[in-house]
Amino acid sequence: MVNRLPAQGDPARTLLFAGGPHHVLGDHPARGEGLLRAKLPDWICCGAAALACLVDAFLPWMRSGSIERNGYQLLASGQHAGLLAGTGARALTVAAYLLPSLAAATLAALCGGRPAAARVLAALTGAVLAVGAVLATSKLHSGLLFGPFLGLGLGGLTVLTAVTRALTTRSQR
Amino acid sequence: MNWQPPSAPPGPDPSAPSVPWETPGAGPAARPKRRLARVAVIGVPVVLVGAGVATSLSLAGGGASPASTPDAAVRALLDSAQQGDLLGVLGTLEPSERDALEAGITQTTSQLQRLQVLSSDADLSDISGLTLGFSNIRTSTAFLTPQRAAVTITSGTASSHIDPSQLPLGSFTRSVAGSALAKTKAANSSSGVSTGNDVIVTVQENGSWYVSLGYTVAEDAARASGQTAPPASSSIPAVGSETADDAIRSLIQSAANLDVAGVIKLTPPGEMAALHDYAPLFLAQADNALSNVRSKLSVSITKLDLADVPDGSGSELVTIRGIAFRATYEQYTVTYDGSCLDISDASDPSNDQHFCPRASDLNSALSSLPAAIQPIVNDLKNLHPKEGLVALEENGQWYFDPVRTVFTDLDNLLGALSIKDMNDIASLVKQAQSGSLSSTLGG
Repeated sequence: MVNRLPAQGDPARTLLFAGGPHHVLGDHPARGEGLLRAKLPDWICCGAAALACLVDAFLPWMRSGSIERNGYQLLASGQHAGLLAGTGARALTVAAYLLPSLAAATLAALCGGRPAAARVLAALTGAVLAVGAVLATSKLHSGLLFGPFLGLGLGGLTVLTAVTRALTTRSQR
Repeated sequence: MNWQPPSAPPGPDPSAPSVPWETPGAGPAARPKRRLARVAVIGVPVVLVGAGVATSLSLAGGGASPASTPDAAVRALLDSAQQGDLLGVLGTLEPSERDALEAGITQTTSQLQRLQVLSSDADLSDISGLTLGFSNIRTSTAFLTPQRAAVTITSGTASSHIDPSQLPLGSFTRSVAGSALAKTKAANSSSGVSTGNDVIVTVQENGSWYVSLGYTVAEDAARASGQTAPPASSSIPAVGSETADDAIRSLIQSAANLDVAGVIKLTPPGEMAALHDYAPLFLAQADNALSNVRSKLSVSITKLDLADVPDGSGSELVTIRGIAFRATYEQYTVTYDGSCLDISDASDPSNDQHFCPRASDLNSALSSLPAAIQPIVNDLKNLHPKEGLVALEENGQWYFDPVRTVFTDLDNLLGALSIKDMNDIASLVKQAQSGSLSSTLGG
C-alpha cells in the first residue's frame, strides 16, 4: 500500500499546495490537503481577480471619433490633453501605472505562501481600477465603452472578495 | 470438535514493517530536483514581480507620444481631426490655450444641448454628418525662434463630407432653419490644400511641440500686414496681482485710463503669450489712435464693489456688485453713483441732465412695444445671468483672462435662458421669416 503525493519539486505540488516553501517542501499529507482546500479561494478571490483587473485595463474604455482607447491609452491621452490635473489625479495616474506590479505582486504573494499580503495587494489592485473607472465615468461625458463599467464592477468585486476572504480567514483562526 | 479461539481480525501487523509515505525521488538522487523546486518557489514570485514592474515602467514610459517636431505636431492635429478624435486634437494644442478652450467648449456644448440648439446626443468626439480627410500632406518648417516654428502646408488634398440631415442639431435649430436644412443636400468636396502665405505656428514646451492657436493668429496677422514677428526683447511683460480682485481692479482702472499696454500686461503670460509677444506690432498705432481721446478724457473710479465666485479650477469669476465713476470729456462731466447718471455741461448748465431709471420706466417702455413681442421681451428682461470678468492664477499671480471671460459669460447667459425663452425666440424668428413681424411692428 503506497500513499502517493506529488513529488518534491513537482510543479503540480507547488500550485496545488501553494502555501509557501515550508508547506510545499513539507512532507505531511494532511497539511498539504488542507492547504489545497484553504488556498484555492485565495487564488480565485485574489489571484484571478487581480489578473482580471489588469486585463480590464487593456480592454476598450473610450471611443473618440474613430479611435478606441484602452485604459492606459486613455490615461496617456488624458495626461497629454491636460485632463488629469490636480494631486488626486496625479496620484491615481501613478497608481494606475503600478497596476501591473500590484497584480503581479498579488500572484507572487500567493506563490510565495503569503495569502494575507496577497489579499491586501488584491484589494489595492481592485481599488485602483475601481477609482480609475469612477474617474473616467465622471470626467468623460461621452464615448465611454464597456471597459470602465466592467472595471468598476471587477474592481469593486476584487476589493470585496479580498476583504471578505481576509475577515473569514481571521474568524476561522 | 475442539473449540478454537477466533482468528484475529485483520489489522496492522505490529511486526510488519511500516509502509512509508512514498515520495518518489526522495532519495539522494532527488537532491538536484529539490534544489530546483526551491529555486522555482523563490524564482516564480521574483519573475512575476519583475514582469509586473517591467510592464508598469513600459506603460508609464509609453502612451500617447508627444510630437517631437513642429511638423509632427501639425500632422497629429490633422490626423486627429480626420479621425474625429477630440481627445487627440486637445492633446496637440498648446497646454495653457487648450485648458482655456476645453472647459469653455464643453460647457457651451452642454448649454446648447439643454436649449435644444444641438441634439441631446450631440458628441464633440463624434460629430455626425461631418467627415474630414487629409491625404498626401507635405509641409515645410521655418523656425521663428528655437522654441517656436511656423509650419506651412505646401501641398496635399483635403476632402470633406457634410450631410445636413445628419448634423447633431436640436429641435430649436431645426424649427428655425428646418426648411433651409431640408433644401441642402449631402455634399462631398475634395480640393488641394495649401496654407499659402499663412502658417500654423507650433511651440515647444517641456520637450514636446504643440500647435498654438494664439501664435498662429498673431503670426498670420503680422504676415498679412507685411510685418515680421517682433524680437523677444520687446515683448510686453506680464504683471500679476496678489488676488483675483486686485487683478480685476487693475484691469478696470487701466481700461478707464485707455492704457492698452496696461491691459495687456494684466493678461496671463502663458495662455496669452502670443498677445504679449506680438503686441509691440500694434501697440504704437493703438496708442496714437487713443492719445487724442486720452488728452481730453479723464475717468476716475470712485467706487468699485467686487464679489468673487471661485470655479475650483484655478480661476475666479469676479462680478461687479457696485460701481461709481466720474468722467470728464472736454466741457462735459458724467457722474454715475451706482443708480443714477448725471451729465453736466460746463459751458451751458441748461444742458445738464439727470437719468435715474426705475422699473416703471422700463415697464412703460415695454408697453410701447408691439403686443406680439411684449411677452417675449418681458421674459427676456427677467434674465439675470451672472456676468463678470474671470481672473486666472498662473504661477501664484492673478491675471485677467479674456478667453475664459468670454466662455464663462456665454455659459452664464445661456444658463439663464430656458426652453420657453428659446421657443419665444424661435417664434420671433418665424414671424420675421414669414413677414408677419414686420407688418406687426409696422402696424
